[in-house]
Amino acid sequence: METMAKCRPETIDTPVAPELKARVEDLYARYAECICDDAIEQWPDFFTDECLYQIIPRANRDRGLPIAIMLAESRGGLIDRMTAIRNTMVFAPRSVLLTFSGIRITQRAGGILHTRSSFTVCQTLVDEVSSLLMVGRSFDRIDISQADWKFAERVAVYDSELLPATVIYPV
Amino acid sequence: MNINIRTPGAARKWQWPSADCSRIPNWVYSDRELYERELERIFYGPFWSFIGLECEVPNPGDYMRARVGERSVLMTRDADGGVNVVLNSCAHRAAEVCQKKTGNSKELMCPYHQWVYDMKGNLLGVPFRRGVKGKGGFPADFDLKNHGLRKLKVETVNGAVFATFDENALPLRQYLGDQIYDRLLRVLDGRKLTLLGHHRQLIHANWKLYPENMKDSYHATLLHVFLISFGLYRIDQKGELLQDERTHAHNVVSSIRNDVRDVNGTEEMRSLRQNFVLNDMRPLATVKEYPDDVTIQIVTMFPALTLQQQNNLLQFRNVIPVGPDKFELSWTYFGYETDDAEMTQRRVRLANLVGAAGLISIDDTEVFEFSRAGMEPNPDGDCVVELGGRGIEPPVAGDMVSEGPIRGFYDFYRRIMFDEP
Repeated sequence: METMAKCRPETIDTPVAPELKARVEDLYARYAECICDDAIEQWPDFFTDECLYQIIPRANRDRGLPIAIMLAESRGGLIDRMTAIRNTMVFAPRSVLLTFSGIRITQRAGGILHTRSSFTVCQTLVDEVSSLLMVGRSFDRIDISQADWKFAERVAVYDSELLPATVIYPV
Repeated sequence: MNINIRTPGAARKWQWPSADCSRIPNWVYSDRELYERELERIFYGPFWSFIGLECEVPNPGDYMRARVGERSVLMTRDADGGVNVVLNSCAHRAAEVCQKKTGNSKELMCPYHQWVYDMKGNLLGVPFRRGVKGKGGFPADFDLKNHGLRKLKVETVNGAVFATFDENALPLRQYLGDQIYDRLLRVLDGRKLTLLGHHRQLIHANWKLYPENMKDSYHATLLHVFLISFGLYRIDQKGELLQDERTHAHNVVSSIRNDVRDVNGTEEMRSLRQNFVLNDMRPLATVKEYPDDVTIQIVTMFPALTLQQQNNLLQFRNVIPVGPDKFELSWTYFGYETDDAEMTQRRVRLANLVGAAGLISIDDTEVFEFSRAGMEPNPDGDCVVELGGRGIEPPVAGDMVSEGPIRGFYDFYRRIMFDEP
């Protein structure tokens, strides 16, 4: 299946310059900090104006089924999500800890870097022990054509068959 | 010193606090023994559970795991093209026969001792039936016919598959009543269904809170401020509440969108924040799809299934109990075979509103956990359910804020669970 092929590790022809890799890792670190620090007002700024943001179950992705639990197709859509989190959604307060590992540049096509990585999201609710919300892999595209590097695509594919309750914050 | 220890909980065990259903005792949401009885009498009784879509097992040999109550079942497509639902537990030593979520196979083989079944659940063969070198083996009168997988009664409604453990369950049209069944057919209208995806959540709350919530039109405009805040929904939308008059436990809530500039009725909504504007309207772009103007139709089917049409967003929301304090909420999103790419994209975008990260659904899921947190340590408290009266009669036409359907649910529930007349 086409979608399976996308999930397979790809090799990059030319060696990746250490500075390039370092800057990509820095971008992921700053992205995670934005979520962990509860600074989601800045979250949309990590994306290009036209972009794809998706959190999708692995079971759907593997079978080529399009349903995601979160989807945005523009920075405006991300701002809408953030506005809803801040103003209209009803949920128990929590902190989330997003970590990335195994960040790898898989392809460079013009001004776009393709990356993949693993991620883990833990959350802590009032009076509760910290728990695992989600584990998965991300398949992203980073626009490096401008001075500020931004995500043109961020596709978070989560393994978790059963999600514990809700996913409030972006990953 | 005379210490008088009162244990009101034990004394009034399973004693409903009111003759009518205007009170719901908190213990109904946490009692373990009661939950075991719910499994036996409701989930394994003469009531229908949603299994999946026929299109999920299109070819002979296809199978898919599903659940009825706490029991794992398999939906299969047999060589004759029929859809079957069988218990996923070997007739030999009860092991789960199939561990893969979906797949295709000529037959079902239990990995433990390799008992082999056809896709209908009939036992085809067992290893060492005649023993080894003429010694041992099964008794001569061992009959394969008597040792198949347990078969559930199955009915499909235009591509949606339902099953029950009880042979005596009424056919679905009779089970739901014409009025509710016809609303099911409004969405399952005969066009071939296509699967757009699933996802699943584990919610720490009693399963009954879900169907109750879907019948509760009171909460919708108070809790869900997303649509209202963004100017997309009004409290005085024209709508209707229908219920099956025999059981009062199958319902339809539906509404038609009004002019969005009409803001009457929002004064009492303290949580209302207005004047947000969506930057990206695409997730809410809809087109008229059905002959009528109904924008939201929620069909709840006893015990625990919801079929919701929200504009062009179509989903089954299936509640699967996991103990008295947990349930799985399983979402199945679908479209029709006749959909073009644009329509599919519309449905996929609208899915932002619902599900585990749904702009609207999050409110519900979170509140279920608040309910559990409040109910569990307070089993002797009662919920007050008096909006729209104390009876179970259908709400007056045009009354969109009534808890009547919740009272109806418990009226039926009490008859099943406590043998009340």
